[in-house]
Amino acid sequence: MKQGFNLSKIKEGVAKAVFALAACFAVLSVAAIIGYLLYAGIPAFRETGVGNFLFSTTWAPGYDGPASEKFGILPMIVGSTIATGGALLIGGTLGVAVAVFIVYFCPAKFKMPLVQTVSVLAGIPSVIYGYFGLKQIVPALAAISPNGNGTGVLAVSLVLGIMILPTVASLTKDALEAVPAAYYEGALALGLTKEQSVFKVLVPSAKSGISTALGLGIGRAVGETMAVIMVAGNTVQFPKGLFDGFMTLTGNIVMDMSYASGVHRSALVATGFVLLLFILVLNGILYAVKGKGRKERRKFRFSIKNAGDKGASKVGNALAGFYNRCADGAAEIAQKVKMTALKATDKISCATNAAVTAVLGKGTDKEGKPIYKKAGGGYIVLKVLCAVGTLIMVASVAYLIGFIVVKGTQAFIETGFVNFMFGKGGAGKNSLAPAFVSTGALIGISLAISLPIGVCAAIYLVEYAKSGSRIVKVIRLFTDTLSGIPSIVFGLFGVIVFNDALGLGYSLLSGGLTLSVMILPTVVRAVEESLLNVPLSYREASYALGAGKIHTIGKIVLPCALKGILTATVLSVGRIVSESAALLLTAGSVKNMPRGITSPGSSFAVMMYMYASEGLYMNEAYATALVLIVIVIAINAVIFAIGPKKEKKIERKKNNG
Amino acid sequence: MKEKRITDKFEVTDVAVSMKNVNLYYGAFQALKNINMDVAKGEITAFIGPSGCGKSTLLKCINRMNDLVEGCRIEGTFEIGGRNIYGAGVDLQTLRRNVGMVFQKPNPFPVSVYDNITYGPRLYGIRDKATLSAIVEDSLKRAAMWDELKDRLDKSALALSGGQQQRLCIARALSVQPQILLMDEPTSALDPISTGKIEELCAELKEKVTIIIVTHNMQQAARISDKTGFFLLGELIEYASTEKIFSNPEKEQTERYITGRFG
Amino acid sequence: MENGLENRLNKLKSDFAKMCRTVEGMLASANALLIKPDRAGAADVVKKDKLVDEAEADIENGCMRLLLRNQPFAKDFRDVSCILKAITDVERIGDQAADIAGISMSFDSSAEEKTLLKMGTLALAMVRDSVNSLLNEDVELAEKTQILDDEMDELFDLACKEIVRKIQQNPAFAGTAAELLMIAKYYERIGDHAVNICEWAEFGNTGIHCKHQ
Repeated sequence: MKQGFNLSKIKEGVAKAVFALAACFAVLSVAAIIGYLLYAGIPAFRETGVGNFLFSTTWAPGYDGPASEKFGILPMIVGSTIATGGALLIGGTLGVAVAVFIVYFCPAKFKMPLVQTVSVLAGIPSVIYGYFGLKQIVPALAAISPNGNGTGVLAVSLVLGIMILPTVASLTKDALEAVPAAYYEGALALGLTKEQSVFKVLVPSAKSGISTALGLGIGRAVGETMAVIMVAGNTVQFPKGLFDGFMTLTGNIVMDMSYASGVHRSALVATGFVLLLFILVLNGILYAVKGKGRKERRKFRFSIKNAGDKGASKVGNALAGFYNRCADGAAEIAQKVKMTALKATDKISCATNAAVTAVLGKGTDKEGKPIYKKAGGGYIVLKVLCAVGTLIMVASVAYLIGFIVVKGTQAFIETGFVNFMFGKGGAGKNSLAPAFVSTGALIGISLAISLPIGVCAAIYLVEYAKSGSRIVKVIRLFTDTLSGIPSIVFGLFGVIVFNDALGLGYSLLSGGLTLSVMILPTVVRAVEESLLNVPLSYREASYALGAGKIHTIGKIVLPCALKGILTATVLSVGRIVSESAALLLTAGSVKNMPRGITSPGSSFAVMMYMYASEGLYMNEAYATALVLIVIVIAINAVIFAIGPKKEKKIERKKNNG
Repeated sequence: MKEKRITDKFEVTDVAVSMKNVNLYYGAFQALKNINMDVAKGEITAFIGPSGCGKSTLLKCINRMNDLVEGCRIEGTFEIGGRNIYGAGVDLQTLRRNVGMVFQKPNPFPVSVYDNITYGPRLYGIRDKATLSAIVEDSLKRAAMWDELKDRLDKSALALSGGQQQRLCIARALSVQPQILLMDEPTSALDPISTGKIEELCAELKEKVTIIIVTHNMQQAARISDKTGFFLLGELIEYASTEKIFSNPEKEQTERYITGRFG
Repeated sequence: MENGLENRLNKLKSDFAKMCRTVEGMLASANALLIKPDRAGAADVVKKDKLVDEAEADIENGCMRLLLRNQPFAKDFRDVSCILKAITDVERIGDQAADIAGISMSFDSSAEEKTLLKMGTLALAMVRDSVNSLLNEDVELAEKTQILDDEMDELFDLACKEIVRKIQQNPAFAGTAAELLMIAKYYERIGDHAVNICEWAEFGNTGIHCKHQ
């Protein structure tokens, strides 16, 4: 009797320890990444001096011997900043416009397709964006470029802009949807038109969420590697015009890493460390600034079991405080653009004053109906702009996917589908068969590691840790940090730890291990979210029947969260399939069939990058791109199939109840 | 053998629950102040009082659901069958098996009707299909919904109406044969007809199960309970027969509350 | 559900009906005692009155408990109100029947007042009909019964005149006459109570009480 009692206590204790250990893994990973990057970067800092490293303008790896080596990364810092700014200007504005259109103005039947379009756009691997930029945008720009050069600032801004558009759009959409319906009703009740309500009341109420979205967009832009190197021109210099080539921090790392050694290698790691530090400082500021807001949000989340703020927005929250200023700046610019548009309308309608005062929110009262009507006209222009933005996005997606499909199909016809897909790769022959095997192995390794750890960590955070306790805060800070780290940094970490320190060299195992650290936060967050969505009342009911914690988790909570876990898995697969930068550094770039998990191998994305960058195998590149696109769309379809159905069911439940 | 031990442990006597000098704190806040009350076996006892008066808190002490609340400290004794449920060596499982609970909002698990009811018995090691089926039938009959549900045992519990869900939750609580059933505002989320059914069910159950019900609805307390306790700001102001409380309460505070002149 | 509204209301109704029938029986006995005085019979009626008083207390209590605990509405509410109000009249009728029986104890022989006997018969009919109208929810019967009260009043006037005339003719009759007058008054009051019961019968069915208008 007593024994049984103790046994169950022991079981509970052991389980708790396992979950806690898993949760600590996130902390350990971040600590390890920081530690190893710093450790490996120290030679460069020592040789060059921190000030010189950051602020000198010459990057000259020692081709002529160590004496002539110079490592100054200021041009890259400036390059990254410019690339991010340009991307934000294009992608941020478009993203917000698309979100506003989807949420408020889109006819119901187009809503779901548009949301799907956004999520497909988000899933497309960066190598495809890069290749598309290289093959379509760069030549087009070259035609209008005064120096005949298509690559450079504008090309990068356009490509990165389209890339961050879905991030901004989907998070803005979430933020807008979280605005209480009562605001809209209240605005209408005051006599505002739909357009006025949207732009004057609803969008401003979602301001913090939109800033978060823009912040996350910045994060994605800063960390992007592969797409950038394909269109940036990659010259270490300060760009003076829209068509000047330049180099980003990430580009520099991935371009040099494969052959660098000694201090050069260390300098690249140090560059990664600077990138990482940047993210960490931002996270720190975020926690200081947003601490209060987070607390409230947490309370809200616990009281209302499904607060609906998706995993991604949590990352956004973490970054928001830090990025707020940049976002505000961008928002200001956007505002100015809108204002200009409005003023133009005013002239046309010969009601300049009334409209401007209405837009500025001054003295809209007691002026009578005419002013409302004219002001409404201004807002309709904004509405039209949102629709135009959406059209631009749809056109871009259609163009991009259409381009890949057409070119890819042609390529398959020319190379022979079966041959290329499944043929034996060899000296002269290219085949995707190795990519199938490698990608599969990478998915298998990383899921085998990150899924159990992620699920256990999420269980600890949701079921065991006291909400708001210091441990939880620390763990969340570290998982949030982990998810904000650019993949190239994971790549560097993988190189240093798995390839070098553990002696795995370029191998699938090393790549898989790196990816498993990388996708861990995705898994933790998605599972955490789905655990939080399991109503507290289920747990209460189980406890009230006398069940213990482990029994409740195993029999009630996890089965209910199964769909969330499945979604986490599929999301992770998506990230693994489209990842290239980190894999290029860790798993190597070979076209051969891997002999085992200790031999190097290339996933689809890496394979495509190789075909694309070598310039010799255009057909193969297009064909691989097509395969990737098909995979991305399939993954989206699977997530769509898992996700919305669940929501519908819940709604039906509510209706019945 | 195991089952016998469990039921033997908390065999309720004429007094189902005896609470003595109960104080409860949430951190520095004292939520219950020196509560003393005996709940009689085979009766329905109602706890009434304004929101935040401590009635639900006290209810949750009786099956130790407050253990889940952070920073909750409990003083005093709760005796069931002569044993202090907060004493050393008390097995929570055993306690909760004997003291079932039904919550404010119906909370069936998102599985079939059958699996909902067998969750408890399985937890206590019953694996035999025939036994489980018998338990399902018995529990549903006691909850007066066997005829409604006997052909829908494999349907999801979430497809039931709110009132049916709540009665299913009662059936689920009954599946482990508790001696005491705690009900925390069990009808506050339900329409009057479902409420009526649950009240009827309570009256039928009380022969075998001692029921303690927290309710915001004074009329409900008046309708179904035998004894009523009125709580205010963490204190038990008055505890007497329901008729006495509602026709001629001793304390002015009780009078003011039940006549709607509170505050 | 033992404490349920349905059960409680049904029990109240059947207790009330039983009490009504007892009172009817008492009045019938009292009428008979006037024709054929019988000490034992009279004592029996007086004893029954005690039972009726007890029943009244029980039923009143039951009504109040039901109001307190079950908060009846609509028909249930009207039924309880009816019983709670009508029971007072029924009890008074019982009292008066007992009083008549008590007075009859002092009689040696049959009272030969035809009018008085007629009043007794009419009173019994009114009580029976009023109680039936209430228990059977018969509004028509209630209306008819109320009209009978005029007849009762006329009979009362007639009885008074006759008795006064008899006193004038035979002053020795005065002692008996006083008792007869009281009996006449009792019958007249019983008629009034019966009318009250009818009015509550109407309220129970229609929700309208003539005196509330």
